[in-house]
Amino acid sequence: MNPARLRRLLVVSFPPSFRHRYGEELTALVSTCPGGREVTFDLARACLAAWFRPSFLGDGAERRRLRLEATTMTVFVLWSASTVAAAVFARAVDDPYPLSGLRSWGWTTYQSGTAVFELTSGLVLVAGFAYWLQVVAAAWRRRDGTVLAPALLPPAVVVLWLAVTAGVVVLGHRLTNGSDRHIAAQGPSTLGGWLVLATYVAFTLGCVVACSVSAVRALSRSRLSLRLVAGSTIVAGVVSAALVVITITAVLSLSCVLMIGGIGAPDTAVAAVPVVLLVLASAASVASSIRGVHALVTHRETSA
Amino acid sequence: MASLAERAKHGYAMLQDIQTTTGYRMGPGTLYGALARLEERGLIEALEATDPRRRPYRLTTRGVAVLSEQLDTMRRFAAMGRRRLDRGIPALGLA
Repeated sequence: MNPARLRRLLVVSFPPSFRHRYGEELTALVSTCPGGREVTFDLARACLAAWFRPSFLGDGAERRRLRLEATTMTVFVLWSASTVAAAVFARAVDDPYPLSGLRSWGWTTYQSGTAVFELTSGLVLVAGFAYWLQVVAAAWRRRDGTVLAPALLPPAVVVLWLAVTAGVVVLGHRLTNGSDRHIAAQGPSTLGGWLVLATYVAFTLGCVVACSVSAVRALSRSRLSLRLVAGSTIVAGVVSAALVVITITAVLSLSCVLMIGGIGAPDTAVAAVPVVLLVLASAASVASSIRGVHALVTHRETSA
Repeated sequence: MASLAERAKHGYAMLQDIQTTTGYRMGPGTLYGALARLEERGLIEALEATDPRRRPYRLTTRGVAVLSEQLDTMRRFAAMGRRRLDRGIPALGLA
């Protein structure tokens, strides 16, 4: 990638609160700053640091609002990434059929994690829809296109993804001569099939990134009230707790798979990568939730 | 903070000043990370600017007090180090 483009990408990867305050200045400075790779590394390191230790400006209430908003957005993005990781893990362990030997406690643990995942997905969908309505209604009253455009993108992307997925399923059904198995479950047998699968996976990842980025953008531009972001922080705390449970069940299931030794090295890697991602996502999610809940409790104590 | 001790400066001027005075080539990400923390703590503040891409920063009253205290601490530390080294050089047989 072009170094200048990579630097611009790094600048827009900073947390929304940081970008909103310093984005223009940092972009201008980076464009005039001499230097090669060290500037790129410096930006990448500073971007990570800004996510791990965000700064918030304004009076006490505004800082709390920004803190709670940051927790909501961070947990939402991590949850979105975790859905992909969980799907890849399920593909390795449970698709087209459960691994032979994955029975008793290992299978029970895996099923428990799946149930928690599905329940939490429902919670994220319901809560997300409620907040989406708030954001869209407020932006519609203000005729604010800068919020409406990113807020309306996720539903459009979801509809597109469902349509493409339906197309892939129908294609797979035809290619497998009416077998009930999904094309991805059997694994493509031709180069064309692999290309279709790789394109579909890349498309799915692109959809997740587009939904996450646009939702975060809409939320950060809409400036929801402290009361609303306080509610979303509680939901984020529940989602983080669920993510920890899902991660623990995934680790236990993977341990069981490894003990059984029922899969080869490539499949073990396919199962292990999402588990590592889940561990990292749940750790970051819990850290952000603790900060958010701390800000929430401090606010309540101050209000009381 | 010491870069802002004399007058307000924008980001690029701070980077140049830091490189000239210390020889350290600070990156733009590190600089703005530091500015964000200092502004959050109320030690510096941004001034109004016609061009929002070149906003100057200056020390606040609290920032002046904190910088002054830190410089005093560093001066005492440097003086103590110098005294000990002066006493230590003959004792170490390096004179």
